[in-house]
Amino acid sequence: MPKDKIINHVRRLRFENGEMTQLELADRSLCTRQTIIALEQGKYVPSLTLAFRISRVFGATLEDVFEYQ
Amino acid sequence: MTQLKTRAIWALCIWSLVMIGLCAVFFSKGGPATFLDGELRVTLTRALWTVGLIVYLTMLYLTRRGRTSIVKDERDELIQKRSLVTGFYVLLFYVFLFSMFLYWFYEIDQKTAVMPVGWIWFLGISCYFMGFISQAVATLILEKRISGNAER
Repeated sequence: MPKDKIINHVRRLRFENGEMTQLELADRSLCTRQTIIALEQGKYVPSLTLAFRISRVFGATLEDVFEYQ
Repeated sequence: MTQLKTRAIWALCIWSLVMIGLCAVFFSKGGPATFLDGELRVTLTRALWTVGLIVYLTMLYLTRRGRTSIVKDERDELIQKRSLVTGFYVLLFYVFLFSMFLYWFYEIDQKTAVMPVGWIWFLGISCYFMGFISQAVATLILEKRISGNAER
């Protein structure tokens, strides 16, 4: 069975949004900076709630930030 | 470093030292056969347990964070849940291996049904320490390796 893969564009979106720091994104999306780091490195897939919160910080849709492959 | 990781490192250090101390006290001066003969060694293990617990609780207090920043999020909770389960299985395995060793040593190797009751004391008190140690190790491994998904 092929493994599901979810990639994200958090890193790119951070830089497109005024070079937002990981800490700032973490604070605004109510998670820790380590979670943002793990997310950007593809080591962690967030819950739907956190995914929505991150998308909202960027003012983007879920599909703009996360991609199902 | 997250609060979870900081606490896991400290817990590992504290309870490993206590465990080493327990082994040193238990296996010195005649080992398990004479452990319960006098009060000194039993008192020493009780003191070790008490000191370990006080230091551990102090560490928990000192590593608390202010309310302004996010201390714990869903990733930490996931690691915590998994490490608790992993630690529990490690503890079960420890008890199983320890019991099998005692059985093998006294029943098969020594061919005697008489086993010093001190071993039971050691198993009981070391289980307590092993619980903390195994959970701390599991937390650190998961913290480093986590690549799984969040709760679905």
